[in-house]
Parts: sequence; structure tokens; C-alpha cells
Amino acid sequence: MKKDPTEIAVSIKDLTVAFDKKPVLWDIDLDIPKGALTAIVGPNGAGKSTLLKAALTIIKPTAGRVDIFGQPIKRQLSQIAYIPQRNSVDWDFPTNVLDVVLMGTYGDLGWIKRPGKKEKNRALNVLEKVGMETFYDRQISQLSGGQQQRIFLARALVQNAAIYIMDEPFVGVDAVTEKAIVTLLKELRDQQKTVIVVHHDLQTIDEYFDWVFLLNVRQIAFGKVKNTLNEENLRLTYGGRHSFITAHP
Amino acid sequence: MTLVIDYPVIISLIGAILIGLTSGIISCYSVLKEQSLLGDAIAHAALPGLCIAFLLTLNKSPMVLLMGAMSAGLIGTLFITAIIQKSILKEDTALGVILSVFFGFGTLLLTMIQKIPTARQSGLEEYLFGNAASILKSDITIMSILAILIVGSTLLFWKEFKCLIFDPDFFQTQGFSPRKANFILIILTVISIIIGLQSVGVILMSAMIIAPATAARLWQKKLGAMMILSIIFATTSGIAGVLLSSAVYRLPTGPTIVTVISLIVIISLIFSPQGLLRQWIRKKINQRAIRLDSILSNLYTLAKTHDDLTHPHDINTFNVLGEIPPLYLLQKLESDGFIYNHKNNEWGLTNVGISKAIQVLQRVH
Repeated sequence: MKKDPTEIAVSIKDLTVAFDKKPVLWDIDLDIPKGALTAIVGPNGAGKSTLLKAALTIIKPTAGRVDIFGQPIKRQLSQIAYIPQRNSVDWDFPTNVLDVVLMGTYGDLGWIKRPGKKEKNRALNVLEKVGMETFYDRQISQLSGGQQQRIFLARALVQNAAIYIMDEPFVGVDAVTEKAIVTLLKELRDQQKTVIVVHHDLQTIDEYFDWVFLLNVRQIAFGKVKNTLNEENLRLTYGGRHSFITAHP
Repeated sequence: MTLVIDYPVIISLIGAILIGLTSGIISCYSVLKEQSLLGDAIAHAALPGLCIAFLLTLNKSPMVLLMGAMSAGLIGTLFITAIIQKSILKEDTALGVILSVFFGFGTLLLTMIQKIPTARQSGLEEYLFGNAASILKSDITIMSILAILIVGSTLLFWKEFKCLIFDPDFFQTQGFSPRKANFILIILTVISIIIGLQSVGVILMSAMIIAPATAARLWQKKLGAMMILSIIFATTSGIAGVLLSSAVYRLPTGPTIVTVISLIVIISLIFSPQGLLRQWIRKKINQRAIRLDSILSNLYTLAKTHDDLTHPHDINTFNVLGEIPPLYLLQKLESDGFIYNHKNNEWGLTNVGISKAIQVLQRVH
């Protein structure tokens, strides 16, 4: 891995998160390279979502720091687009698709200023990119799981950020949407964007991602998928249970 | 029952409109944040504040009393937040504890005040159930200023409040502070409750924070439209409550307002697009469609053993297959041209009915 700091998109140092003295994440050191697709993988309760949230300052870490392109995260939030788990919001909220996508422009607008024509056009553009342009005035409660995920993706794309952080984007979406999302992520990568995804399907890691971070409270391994995703590392991550869930060599 | 629209009634009506406006707005945020019980706790927590403000100043002007109520409401909210954050107790427990402790203490103070000879006429007990007639012109001035504050903040922070409630984590990653936005929202909630205390009273004020948006949400699909309807519902019940309570001797305003808004909620629950009546009708229509389909598929199954698929069968054979269909369903299918009546109880599929039955069977399997 190159050591040039401009080539590292996200740098996590000594990150520890504990709830009531119970560590959820323990001393994570991680340098995620720019312009690559990185998967974060580990069993339930491994701290994957917590790692994302701590890196995004949503959760205050007990210790450690996060730098984005060599700068403290606090000043770099606009570089990051976050796509939370689909079920983390109430889809019965009284709003429509365009309104949700427009939320991705709020960071640029800052307090008080409302989105205008320019922002609406940006939002409609990204809706087209995720194949949802005809749904712009649809009530969000009427969307399927796959459509909800596309809307979340559109809300992130409209930010035009350098780094995309996604929490389990493929949960409960149909195969067509999954393929469409992967294609989009690869396009982002090819535009030198950095994509970080919490992923749980070991079968598809090597098809979808370039780098993989194996995590189970402590960091197990990080590297290129082909060097890192091996029997030994998976056993360390999942204990004895991984043989049930993967046929990966 | 006599209704005289005189000057005091007009003052009360203006008060009711201001309450409707503010609680209609705040109600939307409370209901969508699933924090409607916070309003209940804040309103109850205001009582000791009212009493202490009176005891300290021996002044019964609403301005002084409401300042006390507001401080107590804020302190109550602070305790609730602290309990949730610092202890292992959950939100409902924290709300329950603060509500009962503050309200219990408030009732105690109120009883004590009643025993002070000079304070007997303080009118403090009217804050329990509210009395719109006690609103003076000077109170309207204060209420208007507070209402402008709430409407103005809602317009200014429209997108912030919406994003905060829909997805607080995302709101944070957009560089906003959910803590700040939440704090503003809670202050506005406390203010809107204080505005209503004189007319609606501490015990029932929470209904004005819960009911208007609950009803409006059943009719409207966008936040803006929902909020306008919520304001209309709240204002309507406020006006109705004031008029009724000024027409009927000793009818307290608060319970009257709350009864009207509750009726609006019940009507909405039944008749709105999401309501129970529509659901029931939809269910009945579905059931009927399923029964019609099953008659066709059963006739088809019976006819399959014959060369001629239109071969009629005695409808009592259906006993074996489930239920014997009632005549009106058979007549419906006959008029649609799917089946024909051979004689008496014998019915068979028409050619159109056969292809329809095949469709039904393909859909099921």
C-alpha cells in the first residue's frame, strides 16, 4: 500500500468505542485507499455500523481520531456521503422522493437557506442515474425495498462527495437493484471516488470489491481482497462458524 | 344556553386561534418524532412552576405565572433528557417519573395556596382545566409574540426540522448539529404548551400536542399540507371549545376543546383514506373477489373430468370443496357472463368463464 497521505481517503487511528465500559470497537487502525471499493466485513455485533458511525462523528468515540484526506473529519464532512441502513428511518414519514433526495443538498445550503431550482435539477439528475426519475413525486411509503435503497443512493450522489459510506445497502433489495447499485459503485470508483461498504455476503465480496477489512471488535485483517479473504482470516473473524456461511476457498 | 359574542368572548376566540396555530404546528413535530408524551410531561411539569411563581410574587398576572410555568416545563424537560442519557431508565419511565413527581408537587402547592386567605381568589386552580374567559387583552399580546416566534422558527428551520426528524444521523453528516436543532424544537414545544395553559389547562394540554397532527396525518401525505390541516383542526376545536364554554354556564374550556379535537381524531380514524372504513371496505371487496374466483375454479375442477368443460354441476357438490356459494354471487357471475344456469341448482362455466378460471388457477399456482 502506498504511504502517500493524499492517496489515503480515510485514515482511522487508535479508534476505540465503548458503551458502558464494554468495547464495541477496540483500537482500530485503518488506512482506506482513495479510488477503491472497500468492504467492511464481520459477524453480527462486530462493530461494523459503529465503525461507520464513529468515523462520521455520529457516535463519539472513546478514543482515537479519523482523518479525511489528511484533515480532521470535523472539517471534511462535506467530502463524505453517508447512506445509512434502509430500516434506520421511518418510511411512513409524510414526504416524497424528491424531498428525500434534496436532503443531500442541505449540507451545501447550510442553516436556514432552502433548496431552489438549481438543487431540484441536481436531484432530478441523480434520480435519473438510479433509474427513479419517474418516481420523483411518489410518496416514500409506497416504495419497495429496492426503490428505497435507490433513493438513499440518489440522496448521497446529489452531494457529489469524494467518499461514499454505505451501511448494508444490499439488505432486502432484489437482485436487479443489487446489480444496478454495484454497477453504480464501480462507476464511482472509476471516477476516483472512494466507496466504503458494510457488507455481509461473503460470496460476493470478491466480485464486488477491491479491498476488504475484516472486523470483529478488533481488526482482523485489511488488504486486497485476493490476498486477504482466506480461510485463516475468515476463521479468525467468524470463529468456527464461517464454514456454515461460506464456500469461499 | 345563550351565546353572546361580546368583547371578552372575542378576546378568548383570538386566544383560541393562536393556540390552534401554535399547537397545530408543534403537534406535527411531536407526533412525527414519536415524542407526543413529552408534551404531556411538560404540561404537567408546568403546574409547580405556576404555583411557585405565585408564591414568590403573590402576583396572579398570567405573564408572571406563565414565566414560572415555562421555567418548570424546561427544568422538567432537562430532567427527562438527563434521566434518559445518564441512567439505564427508558424514555417512558423518565416521562412518567417527571410527570408524576412535578404534578404531584404542583397539586400539593396548589392546595397550600388555597389555604392562604389572601390567595383564595388567585384563580390558580383554573389552570388545571383551563378557562378561556380568564384571558385578557394583555395576555393576547404575549401570546401573539410567542406565536410569531413559533411560526417564524418553523418557516426558518423548515428543512432542518424535517431532516432532523426523518433521519437524524444523516442530518449530522450534512454538518448540522442535531443537538442544536432538537434544542430549538423543544423550546418551541414548551412555548406552545405555555400558550395553551390558560385556555386548555395543564391536565389536557397534551391532547392539543397529540391530536391535531394525529388526525391530519391520516388525510395528508406531505408535511406542509399535513401541518396546515393540523392547524385547521386545532383552531376549529379551539374556537368550538371557546364558543361552547362561553354559552354553557360553568362548562370548562379545556375539556370542551379536547372533546372536539378528539371527535375530529375519531372521525379521521374512521373516514380518512387510511381509515378503518376504507380498510374494511377494501377487505370486503377482496373477500368477495376471492369467493367469486373460487367458484369459477371449483366449477372448472369439477368440469375437468368431462370432455365438455361447460358441463354443469349441482351447486351442492361444492359442499365437498369448501362452501356452497350463495345465490347472489352466482347471479353476479352469471350477469358477468362467466357462468350459466342449466336448471335449478345446476351451474356450468361459459367459454369466457373457462378462460377466466384458467387465469385464476394460474395466478394461484
